[in-house]
Amino acid sequence: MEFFNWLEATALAEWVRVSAWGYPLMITLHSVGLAVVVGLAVAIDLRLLGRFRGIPLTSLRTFFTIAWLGFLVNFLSGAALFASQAASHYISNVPFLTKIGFVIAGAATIGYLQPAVAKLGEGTGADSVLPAGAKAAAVISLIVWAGATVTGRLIAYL
Amino acid sequence: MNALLDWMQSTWLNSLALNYQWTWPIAETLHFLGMSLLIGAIFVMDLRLLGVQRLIPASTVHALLPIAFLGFGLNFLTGLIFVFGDPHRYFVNISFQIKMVLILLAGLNALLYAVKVSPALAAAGPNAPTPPLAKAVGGASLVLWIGVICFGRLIPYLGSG
Repeated sequence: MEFFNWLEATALAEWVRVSAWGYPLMITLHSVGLAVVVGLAVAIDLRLLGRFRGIPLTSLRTFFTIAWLGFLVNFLSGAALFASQAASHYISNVPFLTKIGFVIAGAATIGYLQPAVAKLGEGTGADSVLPAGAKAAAVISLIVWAGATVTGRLIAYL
Repeated sequence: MNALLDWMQSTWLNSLALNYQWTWPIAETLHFLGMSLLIGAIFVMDLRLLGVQRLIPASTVHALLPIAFLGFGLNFLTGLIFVFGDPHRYFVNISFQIKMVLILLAGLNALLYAVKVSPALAAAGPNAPTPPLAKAVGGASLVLWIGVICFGRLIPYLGSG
């Protein structure tokens, strides 16, 4: 708890909390990053589940990279938002903690799928049938990223 | 203008938005899910148009369009709930106005894709060099849609209302 008190007292936290542009800037970056991570995760998952088979599996590499870039934007902007009310609000906020659980699970599914897909090689059309484990991970990925979006948005209302 | 806004406030959509505690949060949540669907499909298509992933056949990226339309449709409907729920706040808001202009421009850009770019790419076949117009349309689409997200999220913070 001492750490979260310290975090909330940092200059960055205060800037997000009280300045005119700190919070709007961070929440806007967080929305762009969210759309990129979740949107590309959904596109990748649907491809792995057999839609858009014309997209070669090797091409997914680019989309994995950009999804991680969106994740980084949201890790940083999210850290700033969290710091602004770390001890007084977020650390005991159930929707927030639930959301973090979903985000960790989502990152784990993408982190698992990326090397699994890379191992499959070129793969288009019928050649791109995935092992059952990868398909299960893609389904889980769809569910947990939707869960992260829903619980994240509801932090403001619950 | 005021008469129109007053009429919007008298509709059942306005009642739906304001009379139930959960309408607004649920609509906001769906609006973010729709945004993600739209952006995911748009990114894959635009990166192909920019020539980043030329191995993807043009006809295949075209197949992502239904996902983009699903996201857009979801956000059009949930967006109606917001503007009918609080018309006097939205229509005077500069951030909302900019967002609507950006959506209009993105729509015209998409029309250019459908009329000019998509047929040209289909004729060119896979791995062909990307025509300059395709790159311009893909780049414009990325910038416009990211702008839509930014000005959408800034509605509560920019301008009056």
